[in-house]
Amino acid sequence: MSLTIKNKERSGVINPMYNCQPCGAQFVGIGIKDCIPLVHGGQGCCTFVRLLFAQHFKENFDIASSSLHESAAVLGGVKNVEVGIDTLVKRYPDLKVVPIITTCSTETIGDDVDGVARKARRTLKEQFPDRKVQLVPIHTPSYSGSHVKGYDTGMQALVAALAKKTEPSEKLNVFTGWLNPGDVTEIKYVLSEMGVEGNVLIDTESFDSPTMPDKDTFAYGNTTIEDFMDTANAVGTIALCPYEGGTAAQYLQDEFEVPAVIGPTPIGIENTDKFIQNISKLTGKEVPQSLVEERGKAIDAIADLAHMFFADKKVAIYGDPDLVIGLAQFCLEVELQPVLLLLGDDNKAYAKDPRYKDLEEKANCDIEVVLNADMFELEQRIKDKTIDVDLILGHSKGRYIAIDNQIPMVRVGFPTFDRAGTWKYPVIGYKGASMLAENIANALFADMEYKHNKEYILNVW
Amino acid sequence: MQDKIEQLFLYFQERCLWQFHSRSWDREDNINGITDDVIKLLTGKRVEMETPEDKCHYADSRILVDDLKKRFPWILELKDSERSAVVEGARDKLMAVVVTNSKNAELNNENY
Amino acid sequence: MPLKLFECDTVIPERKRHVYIKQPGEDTSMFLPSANIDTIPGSLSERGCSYCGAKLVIGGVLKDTIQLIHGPVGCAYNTWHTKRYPSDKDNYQLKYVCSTDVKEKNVVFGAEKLLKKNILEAFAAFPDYKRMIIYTTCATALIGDDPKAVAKEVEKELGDVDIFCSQCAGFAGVSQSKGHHVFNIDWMDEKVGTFEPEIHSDYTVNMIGDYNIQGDSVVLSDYFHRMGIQVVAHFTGNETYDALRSMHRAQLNVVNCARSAGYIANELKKKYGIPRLDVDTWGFNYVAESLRKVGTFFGLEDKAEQVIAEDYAKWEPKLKWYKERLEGKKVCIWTGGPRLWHWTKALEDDLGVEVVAMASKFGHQEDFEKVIARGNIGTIYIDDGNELEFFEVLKEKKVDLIFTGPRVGELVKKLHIPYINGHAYHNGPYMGFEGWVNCARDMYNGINSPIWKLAGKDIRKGE
Repeated sequence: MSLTIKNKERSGVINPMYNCQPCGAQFVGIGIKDCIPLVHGGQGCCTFVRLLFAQHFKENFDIASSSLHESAAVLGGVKNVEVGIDTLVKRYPDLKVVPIITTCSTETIGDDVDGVARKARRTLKEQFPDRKVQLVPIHTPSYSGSHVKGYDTGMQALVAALAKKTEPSEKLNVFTGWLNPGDVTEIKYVLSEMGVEGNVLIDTESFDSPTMPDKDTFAYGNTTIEDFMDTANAVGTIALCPYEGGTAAQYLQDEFEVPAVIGPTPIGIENTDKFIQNISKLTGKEVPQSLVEERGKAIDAIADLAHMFFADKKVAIYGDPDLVIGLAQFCLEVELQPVLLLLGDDNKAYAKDPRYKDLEEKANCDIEVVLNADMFELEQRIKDKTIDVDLILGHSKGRYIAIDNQIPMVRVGFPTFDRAGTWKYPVIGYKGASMLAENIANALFADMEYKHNKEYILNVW
Repeated sequence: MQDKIEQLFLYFQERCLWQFHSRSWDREDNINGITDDVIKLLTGKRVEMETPEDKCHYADSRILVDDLKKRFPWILELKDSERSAVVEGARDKLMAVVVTNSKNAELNNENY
Repeated sequence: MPLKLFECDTVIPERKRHVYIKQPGEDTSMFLPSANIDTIPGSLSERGCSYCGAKLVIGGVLKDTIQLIHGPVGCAYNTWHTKRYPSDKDNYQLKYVCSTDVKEKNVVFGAEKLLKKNILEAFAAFPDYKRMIIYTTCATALIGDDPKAVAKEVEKELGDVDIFCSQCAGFAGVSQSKGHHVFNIDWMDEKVGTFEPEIHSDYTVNMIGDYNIQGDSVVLSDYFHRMGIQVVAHFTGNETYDALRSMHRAQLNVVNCARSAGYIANELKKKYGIPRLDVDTWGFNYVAESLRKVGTFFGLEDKAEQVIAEDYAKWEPKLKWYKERLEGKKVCIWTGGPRLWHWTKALEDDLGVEVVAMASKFGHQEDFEKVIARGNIGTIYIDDGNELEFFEVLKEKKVDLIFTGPRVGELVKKLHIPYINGHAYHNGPYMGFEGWVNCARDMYNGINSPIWKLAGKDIRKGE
């Protein structure tokens, strides 16, 4: 069957699927321990991203703004960065790293953020000789790429600034990409079953923070500066999302000869197989019985669902590129037909992604990939009846398409603010595969019941 | 008397949004217009209602007077001249606090 | 020492002029916190930007208007799905936002052509929608695009459309407040008086500064309707673009949110002689007073009394039930600005709680004059507060409930303190008589949730 790739025809965006670059860099930042990112731009660039993270994770994360006001926008805002760093360092005694994240305004006016960081490092050394606070400029003009590139740029900048070759370690770097805390848990599980000591960046597992009797726990990122430093000493790097962390993995290979395996995103059985085999190859560890069983459980769960409920059902998928492609691959494993894939920015590399070939070979349906897409692209096709979809996989920003057109939808990706707790559960790994299959099945079941569409089938399933 | 003025002043402060309009001239208009009406209503005089602004001041003062009588029954025991004096006293203090001595830096901006 | 420097602020001593604790005998001519001045970079201010003040708060509420954000995609993305203002037009305003998706080449070579293409595309995508607001953002303001000229061109070409340009970049001003201002003044200058409404009552008002959060405007409109008063324009809850062009035809401006919309009321008074009546639309006592004032203005006192009597009969018993159970609880209000002064006495008088600390993100000194006049002795008043300061407040004051946004709500949850969404409400509307009962119910349910007792229990201690 065929796979066609096209670009959205409209020049603008109606209902954006992706956020802008600084958001991606901020996500990397909140995943780091004792870190407060400083967003150099208007206050909204950080305030709304904080709100977005709170919507998704139901937690607060600290991100600071350089509070660029009119005079600074005209005369330059480096002073705001200086004051911002000073204020942060003085008020937060545990602070160890400040990513300085640029935006459209400060890139347009051409603020020398690298210069101001150099200057501030000297000042900090004099003022706080006992403290070490890393300042890491990250250039993320909002008019370039999207949050996807922002994440990749953030990872790259942090790794480039902090990675340090010292003693070789047995550790394996795993760059997660923009995945959920539930996915990080799954990665750690796989590594531990393999007997591999992992260096998981960024480690967001601690985002799931408890409310404790003594009221002393808040959500935080768990990646340390040492973790970043140590990336240069690892036996290898596996970047799970080529577009979100792939550049940093490549950098480590080029700079420190840490072998990089970039992708595939371990969504679905085969992709997870590859992930585990890659771990095995890089570390020499054998695949344990437990993971074979885990895999078997996923197969077992999927076998109950695939040909009975999923076969020939048409699916539209949107979201971050690696997630969408991974989900499409997963769909083909479980007999779903991923007829429409929407990727939401103008990254030229998306059109050349090698994974499309795999999709095309395996598909029993025609697949259309729309690049630089927005949510309206999906909505229009559904409303014009140019496609007929039975299921939508995507994040909450597309919720009204599902609601208004009464199409079952499973929330996947970021942000998912209209379902409780989705971020706690994985989509990757064998566990992720069975959870995805089961969530999809339950969404279809609820739809059958709501529409009285052969819901009686489930009486005896 | 001073105590009564203070009571009214605090009540006006707490209750009346018209004293806090954005600019000093609006505040003055409101404070003068409404307290004038309040005095008239408390002393049985006719309130002018020629302009929409007059009507608006009347609406504010009418409801205010009803409430004053309930909250401060002593008003009813005063003579007309005393009623005027106590409202005037409170008005003067309002004017001092929210206009003349106000620390609000925006109060005299020419534009809204 | 009525102005207070928090411990966490010893390194930024300029914060002292933003924090005030009221003492007996003091008034605002003696002490008034600084407000609406530059934010301290890195202070973790809660403020947003002025673009969002224009788009998210005011313009984006309109139910029949295409929202086109001229800038990189994030400005549109982040001000979409972040508000709870429904409409009776199938929530169009919640569902759709357009972005010109400005890219590097546009920043270098200009983005006016792109803008024009986008305007045409958007009108084509929504053929039933003939009204549009274009917002400039940081990037497009800096490159000096002239969206007005482009809009004029398109208006001429298409013939049946009307476009308003909100030119207020994110970096303008010090907070979202600047966006309110620019939107108000420009709308007044360019759009008010360009459309003639159908007048079907002898009594007409504009309801200004209410954004239909969870149906607030519907509640207020119902009161006006029952009094026989026509609302010419609701600025801007559940409203149309053309109604806002008709604001010159009302006899009275009833103003709720004086911070976000006082400007247009002032301008309408100046230009058209329409008087401005400031009211409180939250709280039993306040709402009754407001309806009485409006009734008195029009000579409709009886009608007002009838509405009040009907609604008191229906809702007052419920309010009383909650009041008995909320009496003495201590609360904080950490919101944008005006809700501090709208709510503090309403909460205290109607519900018997005590407001112990209030923080405003974008209020001006005018708002602090109001809130300090209305607020308690000993209460802490904070301008542009931040997280560390909030923690200190909570160390000093025992607090049972906080009105604030969802993100700060997540933070205080860890301290076992419930929050109520002070911006968008938990389960509103909160305006009007029924609204205040909703608010009381949410407070009661928040404070009395069994989860807080469970949260405080340490199972290691065998309690």
